Amino acid sequence: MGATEKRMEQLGIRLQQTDWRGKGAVEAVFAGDILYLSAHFPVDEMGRPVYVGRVGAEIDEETAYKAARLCGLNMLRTIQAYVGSLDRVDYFVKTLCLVNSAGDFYNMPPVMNGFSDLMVEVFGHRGQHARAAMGAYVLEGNMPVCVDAIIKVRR
Amino acid sequence: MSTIHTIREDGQETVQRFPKYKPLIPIREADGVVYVSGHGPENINTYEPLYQGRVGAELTLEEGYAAAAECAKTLLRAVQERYGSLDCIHHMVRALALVNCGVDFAEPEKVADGFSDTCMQILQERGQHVRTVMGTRNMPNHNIPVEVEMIFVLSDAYRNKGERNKDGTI
Repeated sequence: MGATEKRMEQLGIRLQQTDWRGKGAVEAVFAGDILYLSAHFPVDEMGRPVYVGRVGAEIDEETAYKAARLCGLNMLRTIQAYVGSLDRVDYFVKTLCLVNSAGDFYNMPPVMNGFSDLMVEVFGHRGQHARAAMGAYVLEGNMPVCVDAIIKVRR
Repeated sequence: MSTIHTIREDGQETVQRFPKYKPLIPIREADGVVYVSGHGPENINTYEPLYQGRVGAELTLEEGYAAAAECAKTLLRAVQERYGSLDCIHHMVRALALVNCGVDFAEPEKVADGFSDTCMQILQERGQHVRTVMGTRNMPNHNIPVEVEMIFVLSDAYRNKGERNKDGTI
């Protein structure tokens, strides 16, 4: 305990402790010019899941493609909120795409093209990225896909 | 320095503290950004798992949460051992959490909250990070329930100051 805290204790002043629980995971964090983005899900504006289920079981490949595109739209919204304008996106670096896959579903890359196609439509060459698409056993809220990204931002 | 020097120096067998047996290094620094290997809820000396089993099957959500909290302590211990103090963390950037899920368990993010909450308790606002949580089916070290890797930004004062790897790299 520091001297100031001791003095406050003598004075009988107590500061309220901040409760940090549940505030650890945020949507985006900067490391220099690199913006790291959390996993984005196919949810609506209120954060409610739009698509629920495993790809290959409850959800087919085409629906999952749309879900991946919705992940991308949500991500664009986050980027805009954090950097102001999408013009400030220099280029995409890397994405990790997870597909909530049923037992014998192996077509993760075509599903995640829903995300990648959107980024190339919006940003052109700047939207191209290194990508890992992999099947997960389960994702948050049993949603079919999620995408996180690392992007380079112009100062 | 050649590879053999990592095993013997001056005829003495080199004591490696963390980790003991893996051909990996737990921490790599690049341009002020530090990458920390995935760590599970393990005893940091013996690598014995503190928790085993799948969340939602052998373990409850609460136990999974506690296991993820242990992951945070293990990771931060590794960082502390390398740089001498957790003051070296300017701010956390990213965490990738793998959660070993039982059948029909669809709340891996609540398990990973154990990691995030512990980071926030220890580092406060410096501990905020982006997070990707993935439910998996099988995990190493006798089926540990959670594993987390992280990336953080190093304070300028600690750049290139950490304990070096045996080959002199950072």
